[in-house]
Amino acid sequence: MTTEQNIDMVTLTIDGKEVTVPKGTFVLHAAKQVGVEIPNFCQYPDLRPFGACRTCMVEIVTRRSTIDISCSAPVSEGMQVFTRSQKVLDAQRFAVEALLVDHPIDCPICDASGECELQNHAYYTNVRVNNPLARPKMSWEYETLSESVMIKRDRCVLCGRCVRVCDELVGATALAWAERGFQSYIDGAFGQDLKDSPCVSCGLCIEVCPVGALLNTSYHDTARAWFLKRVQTICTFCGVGCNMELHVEEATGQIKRIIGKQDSGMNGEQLCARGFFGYEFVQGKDRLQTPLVRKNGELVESTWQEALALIAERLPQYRGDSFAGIAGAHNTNEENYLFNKFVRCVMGSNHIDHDAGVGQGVRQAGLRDVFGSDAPTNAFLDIFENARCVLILGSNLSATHPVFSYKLQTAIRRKGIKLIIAAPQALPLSQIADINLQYRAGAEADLLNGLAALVAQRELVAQEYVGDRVDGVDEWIQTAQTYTPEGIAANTGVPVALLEQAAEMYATGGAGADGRLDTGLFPPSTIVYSAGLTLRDGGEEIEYGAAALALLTGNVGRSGAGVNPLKVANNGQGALDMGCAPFLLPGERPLEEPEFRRSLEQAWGLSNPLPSRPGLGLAAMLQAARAGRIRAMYIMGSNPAQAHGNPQVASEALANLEFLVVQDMFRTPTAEYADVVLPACSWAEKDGTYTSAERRIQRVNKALTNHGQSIPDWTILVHVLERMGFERLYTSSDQILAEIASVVPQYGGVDRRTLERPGTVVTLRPGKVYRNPSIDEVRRVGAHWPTTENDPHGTPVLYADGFPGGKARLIPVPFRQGQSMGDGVYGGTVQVSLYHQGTGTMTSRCPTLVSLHENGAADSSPERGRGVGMLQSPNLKQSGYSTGQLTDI
Amino acid sequence: MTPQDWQRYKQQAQQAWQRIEEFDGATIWVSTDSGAIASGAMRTLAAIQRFVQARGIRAQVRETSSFGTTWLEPVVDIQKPGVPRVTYGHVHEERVDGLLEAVLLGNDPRADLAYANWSNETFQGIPSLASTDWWRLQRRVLLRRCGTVNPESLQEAVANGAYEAYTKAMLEMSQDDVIAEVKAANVRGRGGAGFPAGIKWESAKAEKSGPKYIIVNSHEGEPNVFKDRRLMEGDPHGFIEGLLICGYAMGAKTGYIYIGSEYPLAIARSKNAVRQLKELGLLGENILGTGHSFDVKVVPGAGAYISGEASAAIYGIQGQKGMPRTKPPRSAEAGLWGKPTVVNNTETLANIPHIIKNGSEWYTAIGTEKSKGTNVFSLAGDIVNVGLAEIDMGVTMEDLLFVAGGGMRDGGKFRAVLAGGISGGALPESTLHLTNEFGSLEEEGSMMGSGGYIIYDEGTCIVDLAWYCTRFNRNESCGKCVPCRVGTASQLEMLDRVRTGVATEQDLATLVQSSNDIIAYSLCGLGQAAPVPILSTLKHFKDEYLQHTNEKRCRAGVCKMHPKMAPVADEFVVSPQRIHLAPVAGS
Repeated sequence: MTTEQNIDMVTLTIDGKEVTVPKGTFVLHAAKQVGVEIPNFCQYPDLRPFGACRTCMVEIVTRRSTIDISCSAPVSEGMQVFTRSQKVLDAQRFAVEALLVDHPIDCPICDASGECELQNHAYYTNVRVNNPLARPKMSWEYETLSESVMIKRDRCVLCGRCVRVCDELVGATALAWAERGFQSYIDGAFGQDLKDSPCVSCGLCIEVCPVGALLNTSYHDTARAWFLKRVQTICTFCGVGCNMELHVEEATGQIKRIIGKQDSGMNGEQLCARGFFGYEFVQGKDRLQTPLVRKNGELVESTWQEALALIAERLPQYRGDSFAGIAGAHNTNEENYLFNKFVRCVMGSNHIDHDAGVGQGVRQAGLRDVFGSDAPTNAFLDIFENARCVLILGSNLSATHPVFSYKLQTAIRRKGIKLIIAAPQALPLSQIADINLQYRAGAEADLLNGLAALVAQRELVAQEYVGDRVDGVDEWIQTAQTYTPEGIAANTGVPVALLEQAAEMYATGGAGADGRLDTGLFPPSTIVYSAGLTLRDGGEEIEYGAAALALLTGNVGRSGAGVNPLKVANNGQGALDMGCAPFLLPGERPLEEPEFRRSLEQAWGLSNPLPSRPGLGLAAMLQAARAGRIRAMYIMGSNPAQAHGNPQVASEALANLEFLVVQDMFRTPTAEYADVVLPACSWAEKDGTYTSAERRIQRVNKALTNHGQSIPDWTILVHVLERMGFERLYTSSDQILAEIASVVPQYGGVDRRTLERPGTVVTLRPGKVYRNPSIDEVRRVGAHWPTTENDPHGTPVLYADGFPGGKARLIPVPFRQGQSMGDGVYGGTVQVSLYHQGTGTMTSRCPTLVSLHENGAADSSPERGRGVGMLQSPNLKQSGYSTGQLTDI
Repeated sequence: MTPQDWQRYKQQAQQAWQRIEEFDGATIWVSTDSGAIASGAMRTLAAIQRFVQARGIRAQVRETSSFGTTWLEPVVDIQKPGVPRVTYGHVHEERVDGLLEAVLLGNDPRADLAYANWSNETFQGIPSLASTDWWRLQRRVLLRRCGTVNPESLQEAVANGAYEAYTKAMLEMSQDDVIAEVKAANVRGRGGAGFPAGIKWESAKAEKSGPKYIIVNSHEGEPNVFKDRRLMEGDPHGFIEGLLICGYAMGAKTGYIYIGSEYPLAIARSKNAVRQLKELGLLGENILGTGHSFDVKVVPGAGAYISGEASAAIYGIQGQKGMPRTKPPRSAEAGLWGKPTVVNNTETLANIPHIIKNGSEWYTAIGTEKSKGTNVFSLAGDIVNVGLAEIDMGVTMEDLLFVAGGGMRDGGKFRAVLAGGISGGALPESTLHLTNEFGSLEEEGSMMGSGGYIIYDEGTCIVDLAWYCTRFNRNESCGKCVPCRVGTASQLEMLDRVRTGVATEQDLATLVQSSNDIIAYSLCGLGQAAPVPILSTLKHFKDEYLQHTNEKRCRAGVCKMHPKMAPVADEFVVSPQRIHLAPVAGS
């Protein structure tokens, strides 16, 4: 994270209170620090000052006693500011009265009533009933801009927050001011229908609207702010791990809407379409209400008693190698941990895996062979703040990890980070990329190993770093000599010049060959891709290439650098950490090492040793079931029948099982093969923790009462175990978390308290005022593993003090002329839709998302990307065409 | 090009110009700028060419730009060998044959059609130019080449002194010398705000980041102000030379000329000038072997008034909506594409070559203590000499309007002058003693601004005038900041109530209060100046407002009173609030 580097401090007085803030802070933010709130509309954290609403006016007596807008007046030493003087009150009253001239004042039927900033400011500034500016009002009807956004324009104060966040924070530039002067209004850019525009329906415009002008179609007229209970939690879709707030109406016990919270997760207020609109499934009509038991070939409603009894009776028959378990990548750490314990200890089987993305299990070979772990090395905020060059590989992150891509594009545009996109086709981010490597599908391994070889050949290797930290260099270099620029070009289809350009840009952190820092290294570069990319045969070669490229250039274990395979599902990382892989024990420790098994046996207090032979992975498991070697399965929150690349194989395998237990929220295609289906709670109905794709452990909080007879997955497991004759070990998920903290080394010291406390303060770098959108303190909750008792906030950058095995080990991949992996399955990394997650168990039950997907909204496919009509300029790669305010200023 | 190349080119140009000057036949100049073309100059030109060809007359027919005599368009100048050049006004197509027949063939100078001759004494009944009221006060610096050279010819401009200052700056002066000279000259921005150009340049040069940019703000949007337009159409090389000097001084590599798209001829002539300079090599890489490279782009604006505001112009060039930006940062810190940028008005830059060539001392000798040099005034309205006049700073209003301007047209009586364009203030007769310079008219609630003056006679209703200005400002407000967006629209309603006699004296107080609010709280110059016409008319012409509110009467007979407000009987009193108002017309 940013270190505070020689910041000049300035002391000023606001309303008689003295405050010392970094130079470059605006008066408005300084006032906030001493608890003085100044009313405003257009100011918004993380956006540049705009100065449109003229409501945040203050009197600065040391500056000829003028009235200034505090959102863009930088502080100066000895400044004296008054925020409640008569002059200020008159000025603010004028501004708010002006805003009420056209406003319909229809608060009783307005969604924003009760949380409307105009309502608050009208009260605060004592507006007069006889508005001296009054004239006949101009009125507007409701208009639906897209499936997700409605607008009632006469309530609009034209603060431009929506237009600005859409450009600056999301990079979609879907909104614009239309017309001018008193006829101005907010509309889709170029008057385009939002459905046809680059709008990605992230809902941020709705969220930031200070009044009831931009409206959420799903929330419209369904609730009022003061009836809502707000519960902080984590999104249940992708691996980014956005913090969000569920708004639950207490009377009905329903989620009414979801919003992001400025001062919590790495996402700030940003969510994507899935996070913002993806909650309707929780209230879905087809949620399982009761356990189902197969009777006479049909699944019929049953009772917990009967279902659990049946499981307890049948399951023990399949102890050992004829049993397999599939964990859920969307389940909490506690559930996966318990599931792992259940499969390995109780059922005595190592056949455990989870769907790491597109129906593929965890792969053994890959980054782990090089670094000792396949976790992403650097935290997101660290990348946004410190990276100077980003290489995105073969992944449409705008659809798989949307909020990461939104925040990345903001960082790229604001900080001038270089971007290299390597993908078989153009992606939404391609338009802001400095280099686009459009390679032949399937040639990732050639491309990355080739780039690494080019780096070695061009002598851009960080010799000292490599000597200290990397093994197997000589052998690797020898193999790398088989790569020639022409050979790589032939295999990948990327021109030699472009390859060399990309190799240099990556190796030098975009600074060019003479851009070395004092440390002897170049500025940091990072590699990011969706972990789904490597989930196929030969996928490890991609990771070896990525690791080699990063290691040779000294880009591992540094701030702003690293290799970051982002897990697809929201708790894919957690599932792996909890040992839901056939060859790994909790904490990513190889099963085959006796000492790890021993320590776990001790921790769990087992009398029998753990089975020592690695089990079968997801695909092999299904093959074995089809062949009759596996006879019983327990599937928690997973849907292999639909996810598997070949549905025929999956359905035959599942049908061939003697006994199948499925825990899920819905009667999924997999559940159709089950003998017992147990109704599980949704994420909104349980407590627990998720570990996001940046290794951030975050807390999920229960917001709703259980739906029907459903109970959380971990409770189901506890009941099953109890029924099988074990004592009741846990009564709350916190108890499981406590056990995880003691058993899983990376999770040391994590408990509910450390995860819930306000988090670390990230101070944005003060500098020239306009380079610096806001310097409010931003709190970030959660902890990056590895955590320890002493430092429960954890480690944003892995391997800063060396690798787990001492040194990283380069693994050579020999050059094979004309042999690429073939385009095969894209690992669900390119051909994905923003409005769809996994097999769609959740997303296909959210009408808004379904409609957006089916109508081809932006990012529903790579062809339907964002950013039509982007402007290219000599010094600004992309700028919003829509507003006239959003340059790199 | 090398300095030697440049010398050679200059010599060639001068020789070519000499041939034109020493031509042994008649020379006929036709002014073809947009004002003239609108009056039919192209048809006049064609008719002249036809006549000359048909009669086989030895004559050179030359296009030139307007001399500033807009009220005389289409203007044709004729010079026969050995006699002074004579300016004829209103030479429409149908008058051409008669005029040429008389002058060229019949030896009758047609004094009835002539305006003036260019010698120092009366010539055959035609007064000398120097003796005309319009010319008497003028000092031609910026308009020097206007009316003589062809604005589309680089060669003719060079023969008449263009790019001498640029080459001097490049070859003989350092960047700091140039800035020091401009600072010493204290040339103030002619766009209206009067910010010293030298200080802008200096702070942009001091910025470490780059590349730097310079923008010529030629987005002149005030109604009835056309001095930049004439400068661009008449002598594009004048301001482009200033641009090049500025580019050299502040170390910019690229300059932009931002011209409103309602000035197509100015765009075409500027583009043509830039193309010629590139061909010649005064623009491009390594100019004159100094290592300095410079490129100029002509960017048409979208035509909104607000796009002339400096920061809005920057957005306009970036292809975005023209909306002013809150400061800091100033554009010298972060302007175009986020880089240090100087934005100068066309006329400001047109001053620069003369300062470099003649030195700052020469420049500061002209004008007043606070405002140096000459200023190009554009005069419009109910005045005789509608057109341009370049006069030293500090000329009194009386001299400007009644000498150079020629007084009221059709024997009208002076009522008010709207100084500084639409966002200036209206001034009454009692203020005509004031001088025109920065900071002088302000005390009476007006300003010199961009030097555009609109004169009104007795037939004008002052309330209607304020209403017109406010409507313009309301329509042209970008809509970004609240006071300007909502305030101007509300004020227009209030003025509409005054116009229709619905208003009371209380409304006038509200008008004053809201005007002060809008001025104090608006983001940019447009908002801060929008209520000035209202405030200044309320200050100087309050009686006329009171006639509307109290007597329900418009003395100019312009305003139509609301029927229920006709001054009938006392008992017929309607509360103003009760009356439903129709939406404002013309919105």
